[in-house]
Amino acid sequence: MKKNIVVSLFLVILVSFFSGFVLSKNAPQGSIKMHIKDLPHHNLRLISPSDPSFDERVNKEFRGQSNEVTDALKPFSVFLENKGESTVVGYLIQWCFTKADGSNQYYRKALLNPQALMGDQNLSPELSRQSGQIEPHSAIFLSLLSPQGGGNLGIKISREEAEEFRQGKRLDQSTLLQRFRAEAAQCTAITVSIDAAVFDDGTFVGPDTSNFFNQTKAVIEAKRDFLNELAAGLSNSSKLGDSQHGRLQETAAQQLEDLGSKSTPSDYYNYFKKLAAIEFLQAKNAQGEEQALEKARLEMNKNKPWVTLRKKD
Amino acid sequence: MDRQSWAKYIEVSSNVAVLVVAMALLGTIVATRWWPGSGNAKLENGLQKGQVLAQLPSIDYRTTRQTLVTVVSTKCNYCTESLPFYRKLLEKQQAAQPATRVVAVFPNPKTEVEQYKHQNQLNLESVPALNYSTLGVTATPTLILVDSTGRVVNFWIGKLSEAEEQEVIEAVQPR
Repeated sequence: MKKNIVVSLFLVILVSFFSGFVLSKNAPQGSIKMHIKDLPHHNLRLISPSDPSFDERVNKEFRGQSNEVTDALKPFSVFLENKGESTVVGYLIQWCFTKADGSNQYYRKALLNPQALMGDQNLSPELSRQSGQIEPHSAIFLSLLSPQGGGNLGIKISREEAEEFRQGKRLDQSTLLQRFRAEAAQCTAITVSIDAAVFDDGTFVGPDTSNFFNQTKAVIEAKRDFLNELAAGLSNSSKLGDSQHGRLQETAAQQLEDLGSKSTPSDYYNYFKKLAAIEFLQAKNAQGEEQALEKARLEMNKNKPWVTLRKKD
Repeated sequence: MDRQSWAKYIEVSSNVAVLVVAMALLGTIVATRWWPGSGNAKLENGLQKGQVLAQLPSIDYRTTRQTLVTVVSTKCNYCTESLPFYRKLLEKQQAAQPATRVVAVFPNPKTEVEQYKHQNQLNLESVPALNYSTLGVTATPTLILVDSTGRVVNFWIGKLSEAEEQEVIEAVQPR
C-alpha cells in the first residue's frame, strides 16, 4: 500500500512537471520589433538581428561560443557597416528599449579616435581595427553586452543578491545572460540608431541628439590649444621655463569630474587638455624633456593638416 | 458508494488536483526561468527609414510634401503627457504653411476619439479604430514621418526626450 502511494505520488509529480514544461514551451513567446535608423545616404548601414545576414556574421565573430551566449547578445547587438570610401573614425550608436506602455530606456555606445583627425595617422590594418575605426567596405560588431555578461547594461537584483554582491559574490555568466534576455523580453520594440558618425576627412553626419559634434570638436581643440600654448612658451628658448612647467603641472593636477552623459563640451575640453598635459609630463619623465618636446613638435607639424569638422545633412 | 466513501473520494481527488496544479506551475516557472533557450523573444523587422508605410484609410500621402502619422491611444498615459508637445507641434506646422500634414491614428472607436480630442482641445485630423500593428507599430505614442510617396523619412517611438521633440519640430518645418 505504502509503495503504491509513493509510486503514484512520484508519477503525479513527474507528469505535472512535464506538462508544466510543455505548456510553457508551447506558450506563444513575445516578439520584439527591431527598428533601425541608419544613414544609407552616407553609406552607413546598421545590420540588426532581424536581418537575414546577422546570424552568419555573428557566428563568424563568435566562433566557438554557444548558442545560449549569441542568442542572449542579439537584442543588444548590431553590426555597423561602412559601405563608403572614407574611414569612420568616430561614432555614437543609440539603443532605445520601448515597453508596451511607451516608456523608453536609452543606452549609448560611442567611440572616437581623435588622432585620426589630427594630421596623418598611418595605422596598420590590425591596429586600425583595434582602434575601433571602420575601414571602407567593412563592418564592426557593436554590443551593449559582452559574452561574459558585462557591459553598459544594468539589471535588477534582489536585496539578498545585493548583500551577496557586497560580500564579493558575483552572478555567473549563464545567470547574467539569462537575466538580460528576460529583461529584453519585456520590451515590445528596440530602436537602434546612428546618432553621429565622423569620417577621417572631418565630415560629420547624423541627427546628433547626443551633442557628439561639440564633444568631438572640444577634444580636438583641447589638444590643438595645448600644443599651441606649449609652442608659444618655447618661442624664445628650446627648454621649458619654470613658469611654463608650473602651468603644465597645474593643468595636469586639475580636479575634474569624470566624463558622463551630462558632461558639456567645455567639460570635454578641460578633461582632454588635462590629459594632454599628463601625457606630456609622463613622456618628459620617462624620456627626458628634449624627447618629449620633439614628440610634441612632430605632432604640431604633421605632413597632413588637422581636419576641420563639418556637419553634412 | 456510501456518504463516507464519497467524502473520502472527493478529499483525495481535490488533494491530487491541487498537487497537479502546483507541480504544473512549478514546472512552468522552472522552464521559463532556468531552462536554457526559454524567455527568448522573437526579433522581427520593424520600421526602417526608406520603407513604404502602409496606406491609411482616407489619407493620401501625395497631397502634401510630408505626412506625420501620430499613433496614439486614448488610454495611453504618455500620449496624454505629450499633449502639450502635440499642440506645440500643430502650432509650428500651421504657422509655417502646412508643408507637413499631421494625422493622428487611434486604435479606439470613433466616438471615444472625438470625445478625447474635444476634452484635450486637440484639433487635428484623425483616423479612428485602426489596428496600428498593420503599420509595424507596437507601442504608443509613435510618430512616423513619411514623404509624398509614403516612404518613411524618420520615426520616433515612445515618450520622447526633449532632444527628440526638437528633432520632430525641425523635421516638420518647411525647408
